[in-house]
Amino acid sequence: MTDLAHDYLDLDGLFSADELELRDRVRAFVQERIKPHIAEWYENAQFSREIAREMGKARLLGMHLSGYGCPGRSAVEYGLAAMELEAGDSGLRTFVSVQGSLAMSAIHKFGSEDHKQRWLPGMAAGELIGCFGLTEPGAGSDPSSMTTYAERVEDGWVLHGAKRWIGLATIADVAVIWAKTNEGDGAGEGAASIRGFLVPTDTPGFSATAIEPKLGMRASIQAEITLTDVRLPADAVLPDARGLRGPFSCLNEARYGIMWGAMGAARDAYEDALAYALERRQFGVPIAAFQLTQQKLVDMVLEIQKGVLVALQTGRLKDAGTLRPQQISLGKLNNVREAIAICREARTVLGGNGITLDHSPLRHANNLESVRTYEGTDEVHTLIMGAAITGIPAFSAGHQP
Amino acid sequence: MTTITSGPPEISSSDYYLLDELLTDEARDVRDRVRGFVDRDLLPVINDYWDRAEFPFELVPKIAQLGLVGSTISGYGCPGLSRLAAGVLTRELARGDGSVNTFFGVQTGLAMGSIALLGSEEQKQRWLPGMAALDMIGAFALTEPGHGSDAVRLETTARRDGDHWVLDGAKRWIGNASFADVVVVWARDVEDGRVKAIVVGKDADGRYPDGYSADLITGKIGKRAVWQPDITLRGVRVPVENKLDEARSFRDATRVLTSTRGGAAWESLGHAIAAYEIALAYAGERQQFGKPIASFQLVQHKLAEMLAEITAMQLYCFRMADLHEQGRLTGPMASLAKMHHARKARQVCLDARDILGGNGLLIEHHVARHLTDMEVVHTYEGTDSIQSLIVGRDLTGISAFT
Ligand SMILES: Cc1cc2nc3c(=O)[nH]c(=O)nc-3n(C[C@H](O)[C@H](O)[C@H](O)COP(=O)(O)OP(=O)(O)OC[C@H]3O[C@@H](n4cnc5c(N)ncnc54)[C@H](O)[C@@H]3O)c2cc1C
Ligand SMILES: Cc1cc2nc3c(=O)[nH]c(=O)nc-3n(C[C@H](O)[C@H](O)[C@H](O)COP(=O)(O)OP(=O)(O)OC[C@H]3O[C@@H](n4cnc5c(N)ncnc54)[C@H](O)[C@@H]3O)c2cc1C
Repeated sequence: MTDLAHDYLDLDGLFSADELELRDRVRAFVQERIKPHIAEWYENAQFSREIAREMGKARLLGMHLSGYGCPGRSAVEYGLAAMELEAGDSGLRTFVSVQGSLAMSAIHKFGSEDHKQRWLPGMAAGELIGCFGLTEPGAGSDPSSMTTYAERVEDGWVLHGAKRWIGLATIADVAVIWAKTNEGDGAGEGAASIRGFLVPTDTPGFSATAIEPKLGMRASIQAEITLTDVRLPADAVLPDARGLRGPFSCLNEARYGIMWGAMGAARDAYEDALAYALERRQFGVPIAAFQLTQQKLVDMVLEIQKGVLVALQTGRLKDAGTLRPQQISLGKLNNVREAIAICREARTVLGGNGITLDHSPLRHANNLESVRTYEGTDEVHTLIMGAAITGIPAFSAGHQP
Repeated sequence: MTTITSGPPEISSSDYYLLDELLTDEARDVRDRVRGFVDRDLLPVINDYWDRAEFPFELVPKIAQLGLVGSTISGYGCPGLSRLAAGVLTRELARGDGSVNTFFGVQTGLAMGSIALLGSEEQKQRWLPGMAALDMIGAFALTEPGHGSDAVRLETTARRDGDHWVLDGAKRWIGNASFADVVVVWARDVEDGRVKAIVVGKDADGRYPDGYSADLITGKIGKRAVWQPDITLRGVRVPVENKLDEARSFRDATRVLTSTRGGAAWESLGHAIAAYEIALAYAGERQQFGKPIASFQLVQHKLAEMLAEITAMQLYCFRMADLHEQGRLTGPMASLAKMHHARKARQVCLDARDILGGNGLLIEHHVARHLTDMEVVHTYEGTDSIQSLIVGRDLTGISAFT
């Protein structure tokens, strides 16, 4: 019989034996390799380079990609792994997303055979690190206004510009940089001219500085990149990506993982609160005996169960090849929003102890503030869904017919 | 005919209903003094202390110079502020920083408040003037590892032994208690089973009595720039004259807390104002999709909702101060404001954080600090649930705590 405290609706019954086996393996990895250290990593704002190799060995990098040393697992399996990793910490799941869903998937989808051979096996093994440079100081929710520019010159390309919030950029070996070009439609101005470039980070003119100090996501790295006269060979460009469709299709991969991940963080916060509530006594009884505490725990269970169902349905659509990008917005918006509420509520159950790193909920809640913002803010996903429902885009309200 | 003018009011963009016009001269003066200190001395340095989890000792003399320590207490070198001015003081300090406000609140409301309320004339003379000058720092030790919400069941004991009281037990989350000169310890008298308040002080060399030790709680996510240690008391001997004369039962601890609970409501308001003002300014400057994000409906709606909450909170606070001044504010009334404000202010800080996008994650924009500090306000001085049960008991006449 299902353990109601941990799987109220027997959702485990919706997964195959292989899927559960993979989930349990990742859960064990998180238990052994992340949980014992995470409070320290978070407090010291450090990302362990070694853990990247261990994740490579555990076959967690580029999971849903095939060939070139990648594990080739299903979308649902990738989702389950993201959920378990984020139950450890959003920063570690973010690493896996940036490496696998953003950097590796850009190369896998749009790179030449040479690009794939050169980078993917090492990245899948965690020996090489990739990053994904889309956001700029002036272009966040609206990447089409990016100003980073790649000029086609006789023997290659020259890049100029600045990127912001780029995960892993200070330790990356290769950066996928999105830039406007003087080629194709809307040369130099329009989003249609956007191309992707593989920039080895030791190329002269490339530099990255960590963005600190942060409130959340402390166990992961984000950086500011400056590109000054960065000279690249002609074949540095990703041949098969043109316009924003390129980076957006990578974002869709990452957004998909996030809807699972957020529920992992929420579940971990709930489990911490539940265990504490059963143990902590006030007024002579465990605080779990109070109606108000039970209501908090029940509300958490409701939203976690629903959120996992949303993620699973999205994953099944993705595996069937019928998932539309607008459908991903539903899970990203809902699951992150609910996860934040759950973690903050879990924090209150812990009383004063909830504001320390001895417990996970507030760490998760602070991390999730980043997750709410990146890969499309709440407002952006609301407007993506709004446009899908009404047929009217409202991103730059007032200028539509 | 009334005219509706547009544009932000002059004093502060959060004072939409021009409520500060209702302030007395005294309260306005306090507001300006504290705001000056916050803008000039506190804001430039606080993020760094917060990040490093260090207490900003450099600000202590500057706080003393404000001449506001002791707040509503009259005499003994204290300013004898009205409740309104005291509330505005808290609001403005929290608008700057929650840690510094907590330091101030522990000193003034909890430690000095206990002595002013429960000390003999001699005890007030002995401690309050030094504390008002911040030459002596205070702490208030009620919470224990096993007793937070049910502090009424505290287990630390006090045993009379000749000219001394002997204290044994453990306390948790005690602000300032690693360096305070005056630690008000709440302990149960083994003789009559009643809770008393006994001051543990330092000797002439600045040392705590034997058996007193303080261990800082580390790894805090909120209120990082103020210290709370765990303290242990093992046979700590304190002269009999250190027992606060009028502290006879747990009810007396509750009396102190009732008058500070309103402070937590003002504090929440201060955090909300800070977060809102930062978000409003940011939204006006930040451009996406070719225009300021302030031009989007979703952003305007958020700002309007934040302002509505702030205005309501402000009105609550003014009325609370009036009632307090007239001696008509009950504990449950203060609880209602604390519960409401902590919840609303946390939401305002969350929305503000969202408006700042990725930058909202960075300590340099201050909002993240206010947001996590609000988590603490949500819990201390009685949690959300506890406040609702205090109000509930008052409404129904039935206690639902156990
Ligand atoms: C921890 C972290 C890691 C990241 N990693 C990466 C990475 O690896 N690579 C990368 O390229 N980027 C990365 N990012 C950047 C991230 O994608 C951006 O922060 C995000 O796109 C939001 O942009 P912004 O921060 O500039 O906010 P803004 O776009 O300035 O948004 C500010 C506010 O305005 C609102 N808003 C904006 N436009 C509208 C509109 N039309 N209507 C209504 N409201 C609107 C937003 O919802 C938000 O509330 C990361 C960010 C963080 C915080
Ligand atoms: C930064 C900080 C500074 C502090 N400073 C001081 C200080 O200077 N001096 C001092 O003495 N204390 C201080 N405190 C302690 C603070 O007052 C306590 O944390 C607070 O009273 C809550 O107690 P607790 O942490 O033990 O939580 P608990 O009482 O264990 O509460 C845990 C959860 O159980 C719930 N709960 C408890 N009882 C009931 C019930 N009957 N019905 C329903 N739900 C219930 C609570 O609402 C909460 O959600 C400080 C705390 C913090 C975090």
